Amino acid sequence: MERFTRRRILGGAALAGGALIAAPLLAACGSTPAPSSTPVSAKPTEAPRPASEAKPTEAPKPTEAPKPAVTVAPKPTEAPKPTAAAKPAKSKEPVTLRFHMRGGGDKSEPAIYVQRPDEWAQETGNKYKLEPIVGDYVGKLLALAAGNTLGDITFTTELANAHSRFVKAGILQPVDDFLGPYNVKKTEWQKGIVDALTYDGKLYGLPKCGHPGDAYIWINLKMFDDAGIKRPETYGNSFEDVATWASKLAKGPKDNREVYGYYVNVEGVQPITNAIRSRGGDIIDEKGLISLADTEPWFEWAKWNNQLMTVDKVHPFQQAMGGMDLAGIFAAGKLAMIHQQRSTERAVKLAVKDKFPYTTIQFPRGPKARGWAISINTHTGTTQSKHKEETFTLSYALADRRFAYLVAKEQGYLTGRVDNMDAIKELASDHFLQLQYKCEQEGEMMWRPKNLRAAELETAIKNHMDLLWLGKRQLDKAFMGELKQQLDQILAKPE
Amino acid sequence: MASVAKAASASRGFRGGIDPLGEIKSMSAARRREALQGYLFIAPWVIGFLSFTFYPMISSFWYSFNDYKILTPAVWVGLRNYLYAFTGKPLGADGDPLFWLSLLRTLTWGVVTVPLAVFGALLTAVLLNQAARGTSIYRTCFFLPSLTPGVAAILLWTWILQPQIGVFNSVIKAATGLQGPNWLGSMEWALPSLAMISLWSAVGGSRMIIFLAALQGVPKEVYESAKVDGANAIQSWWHITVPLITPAIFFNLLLGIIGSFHVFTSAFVATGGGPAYATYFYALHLYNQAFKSFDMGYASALAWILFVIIMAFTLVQIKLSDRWVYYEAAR
Repeated sequence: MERFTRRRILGGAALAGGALIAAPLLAACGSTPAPSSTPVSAKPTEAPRPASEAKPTEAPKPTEAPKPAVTVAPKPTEAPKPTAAAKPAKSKEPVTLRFHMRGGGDKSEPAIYVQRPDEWAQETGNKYKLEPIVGDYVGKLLALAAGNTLGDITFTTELANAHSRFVKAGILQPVDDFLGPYNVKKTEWQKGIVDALTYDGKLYGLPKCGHPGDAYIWINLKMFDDAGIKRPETYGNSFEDVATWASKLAKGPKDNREVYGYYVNVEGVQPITNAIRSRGGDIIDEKGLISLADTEPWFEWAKWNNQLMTVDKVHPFQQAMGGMDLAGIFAAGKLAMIHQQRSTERAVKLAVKDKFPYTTIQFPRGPKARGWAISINTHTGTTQSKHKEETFTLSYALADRRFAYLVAKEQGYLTGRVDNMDAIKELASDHFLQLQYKCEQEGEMMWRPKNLRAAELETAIKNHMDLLWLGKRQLDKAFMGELKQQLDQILAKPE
Repeated sequence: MASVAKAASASRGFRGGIDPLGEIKSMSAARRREALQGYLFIAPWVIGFLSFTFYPMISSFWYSFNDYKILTPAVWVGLRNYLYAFTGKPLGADGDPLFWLSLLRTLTWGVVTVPLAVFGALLTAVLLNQAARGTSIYRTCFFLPSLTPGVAAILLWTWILQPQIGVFNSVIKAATGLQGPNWLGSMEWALPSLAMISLWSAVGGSRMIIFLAALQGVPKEVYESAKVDGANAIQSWWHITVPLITPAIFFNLLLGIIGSFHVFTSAFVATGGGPAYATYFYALHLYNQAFKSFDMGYASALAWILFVIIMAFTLVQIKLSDRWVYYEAAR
């Protein structure tokens, strides 16, 4: 009998190992059909036309060089009676849906990614499998799509125009065909949200939320009381009011504050958009082709910020906070007011606990104010899914009244439904939820550059305006003209 | 056997050269089996290299001549991506306005950090080469920062460099009564702050280990004979130690310069490239083009431009090394 030598064993193992490695590689390199849907030319719908005058803000008059469309906040009406959506029937053959979401979501948002999907699974008899994506979500999702290994349903966000990009690339499934059979109406959600998700007349995705971004200011009421300042109303405060309070509440010498008066939010394009829209302007024109950086609202915004940051010095620079979160510095009594978005509420609640009374007020809205910039998150079916109907029922389960209740209870925010306040039942008395609802009603779709280069625009705006906030340049026409030139150059790039 | 191989090689036209096919055929069965086993053993690495390094390199080179957005087919554009990079401000108005700026930032970074890192590591190695008590503990302490994960270290440093209550400014204020700078929030101090963070881990890391090994490789007899000849400590250092460790200096310098072109994590985590582009490095610009704008074609072009720049620097250094690097084995 031939000897079974060590050499033969090692050789056999190497052969087996090489085959194990080569086989999946060859399988992965095998030709698979590209996504079958034709990419949609994602022409966003036009900005909503004015329906009626809003209260308490007045309808904005057209400004000089009126590039953006004139819009008004819709009149806050009573929520329509909720229509009963048809319950999804139990599937004849249960399927398992692959569900992409941001890593850690099952731990940080269990109501969204565990509880509600479990309820859906019980109702329909189907299953779901969470496939969290850690790190660069959009990049990895695109890579999955390119490799034709995308799941059935995915979280999307319009940050950096990601959702629009997915729509244009043909990897997201429109839901219009399922709305009728399931008795789901677009009017279940705020108009600004539906507009933001509509491309070429089709609705791509159902909203997880469509919040108005940085529309809120958290204020330390104890500081107001100690300084003898009348506690502000929730609505109707002016920019002058906020600036005055910030100056009065700041303590210590200007170059070495012990307490800062106000956090000026210039760290993202959404707070900047809201601040400029509050003054009647916008970042780019309606067609997404030219920037409006040289218009009056921009100057007003920059001048107001500059006063607070470089003259009054009531603002703690983001970089200056050295990793300390805003909620922490607020809870420590080192910052009197924070301009931020909804997720700050939870952080502030956890940080402050019962140390001092605080509340939230609406960010000031000038007489020419436009709608808040809606920030969209969705759970949308993909075109690569073989289970389109099941995917729709899951995405609706993550956008319906029950979902709205669970999210409000666990996360403390609304989901953009018109009947949100009715859906969240006993939670409707919460002050911050009421404020959110009001702002959602005043929402308007976020600007969208034609070439979807929002991330580049954001980088240019932040870095150019840093020169002003750091006192390196003066605010003048030349300064804003340079910014406009940079932004126009980006907008002129191909998609 | 060799003459048979040569004859076979000549018959196929391989004049004077080696004909691998002929060689294999002329091998004995045992030798062929041995050769095959060798190839099988290196096959996993070769497959991995071809799949995950070589193929992506070739692909990115191809994509650098295309307009490619991942989910849409690549469109051939020739040299447009490269021209777009080179014709930006200040050389032109239509090109990439951030190409030359990011390259300048990166070169500045290299000029500042590489000499400091190399010199700092050498100095640390010299200190740790002393026969003093507790040297092994000191070596461990110096080496530990290099083991800290990059992102965690940078986050820690953003706390330390906090202008109002961070450790640095608190010490400065306590010692001098002066308010320290805004560090990461200042255009003037942002890049030096990141450099400081980088040097904190670079000085005691692998460079130091390499220098330590090189210092310990210098024969003691040379020092002794120099001492006999009347050389003092500085003369011994300059005329004996430094020449004999030039290979290590060259190695660290070479790798340091190559590494300096890749600076990314600190800017990405701590400053985002700001304030006002003060820390907007080339690798960060490349990342933004690839993963924020999804301009994969242009990002590929940037990557290949970087490759050429690094290769040029490396070749120049290698060429110049003949003048100052002393290899004992070459004597």
